[in-house]
This record gives sequence, C-alpha cells and structure tokens, in this order.
Amino acid sequence: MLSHWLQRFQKRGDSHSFAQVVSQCQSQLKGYCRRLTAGDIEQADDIAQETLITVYQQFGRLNNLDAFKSWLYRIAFRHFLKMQQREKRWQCLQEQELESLLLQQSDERNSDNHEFIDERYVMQLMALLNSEERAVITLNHTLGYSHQQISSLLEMPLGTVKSHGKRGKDKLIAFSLRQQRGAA
Amino acid sequence: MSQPDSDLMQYLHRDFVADTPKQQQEFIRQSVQKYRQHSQKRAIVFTVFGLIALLALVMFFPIQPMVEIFSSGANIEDISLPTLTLAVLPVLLISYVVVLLENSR
Repeated sequence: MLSHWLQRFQKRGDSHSFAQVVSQCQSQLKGYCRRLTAGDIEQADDIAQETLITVYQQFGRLNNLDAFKSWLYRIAFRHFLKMQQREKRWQCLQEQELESLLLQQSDERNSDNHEFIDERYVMQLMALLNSEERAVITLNHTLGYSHQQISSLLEMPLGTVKSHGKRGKDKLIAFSLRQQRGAA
Repeated sequence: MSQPDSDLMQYLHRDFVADTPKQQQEFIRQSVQKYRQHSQKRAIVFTVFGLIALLALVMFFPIQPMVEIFSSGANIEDISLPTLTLAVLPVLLISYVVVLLENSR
C-alpha cells in the first residue's frame, strides 16, 4: 500500500499522495522520534514533520522506493541530532535522576490505559541512553532492523552499531534490576 | 521474581502505540499544510529567479545574430558549429529554465 502511494507521489507530487504517505508511516515515524527524544512528544512530532518535509524536498534523490523507510529513519535521526545540538536537550540522565522522574509520575502509572503507560515508560527509559544507543535499540528491537541494516542506515561501522546496542541494553537491564531491588 | 531482561525485551519488542484517529488526522493535516507552504515557497522562488534569468537573457544575450542566421535561409552546412551553438544557446537556456520551473511545482 505504501509503495503504491510512494509511486504515485513520485509521479504526481500531489498533496493527496503525500497525505497518504504520511498516513501510512506516521505511527512508526512518530514512535521512533518519541523514543529518540525520550518522550518529549511535542518536539518529537515536530522532528517527524521536519523529516516529512525533507522527504518531500529530496524525494527525487531516492532511487529505490523499497528503501523508503530506512531513508526516512536516517533523515529523522539527522534532524534529531541537529535539534539536540541546537537546543542542548535530551541529554543522558543518570539512574537516580530517571528514578526520581518516574517516582513523580507513579500515580499516573496506576491509570487504565496500560498500553500507553508502558510505551511512555519505554520512552522515559531511553533517557538513560545516548542518542546513538536510543536509535540502535529502537531500530533493532522495535522496528526489527538487523545490525547490518542499521549500520548502513545510520552510516556507522558495524562494530560501533553492535557496541551501541550492547551498551544500551546493558544500561536498561541494570536500571530494571535496580528498580526491582527497590520494589522488593 | 520476574526476569528484568525478558520484561524489558517484551517492552522493547512491542510495536509503538498509535495515536488516536483524531490525533493522527491532525498530524496529517499539519504535515500537508507544511508541505503546501514549502511547495508554494519553492514555486515562488523558482518563478522569480526564472523570470529574472529570462529577462537577463532577453536583455543581454545577442539574439540578433540568431535571428539573422535563421532568417537568412542559409544551409545548415554553411554555418559553423560555434555560430550554430551560439544561435541555439538561448533556446537551450530557456528550455532549462522551463524544466526547472516545471520541477519546482
């Protein structure tokens, strides 16, 4: 379905096809950006929109429509890094900092919408990681890209991707253990 | 005690939670609005620069030799290659500007 609208957008460049492309990929794109910003939803959605505008501007450079999503995530990551540098935001948090942040919101975790609460929890966990670790963990575990694919997507050596993935996962597991010990 | 590793992986492997249909529509609306603004801005910039280029071409390019060559009825073999190139250059430039304008839509 997405490829149909991509082809149509490539041929016509009309706003209707563009809207369809946005509709097909918005959930994953927004989810990815929200993880990168560790749950700063408003800014993440801005990054997602900037990404889509860049897609429109540079669509002619995309030779292989099958690689559209990888290309989309690459652009989103670049926009995220640019915004992070410009606004000095979304820095790594220490375990204690994140813990106190989560404690402040513990009341909300008792609400009914568990799916959303869990997603927000994962987004907040991302605050423990640096930018590259957030991207690698999300692309690998949630979006299902292999390390090899991530390496070309983020233009990073394979070894670096693997070590970002491992370091990120270790940090998350350490934090989970710490939380369990705290709860016990 | 549950395994933190498997709990965490369960969280991470779960797909993103989609926004409500209303939020999704709003996102599409905003994206399309931005898209239209950008494409309009792009078209305006190309049109203005295209017109300036055309105007400059008309004002400064030696169009007279071109007209003379084409109106003289001379055989194409009698015209030297540099002269011919010079004569068709305005046509090529105008075509290029038109293509740019077309692509900027």
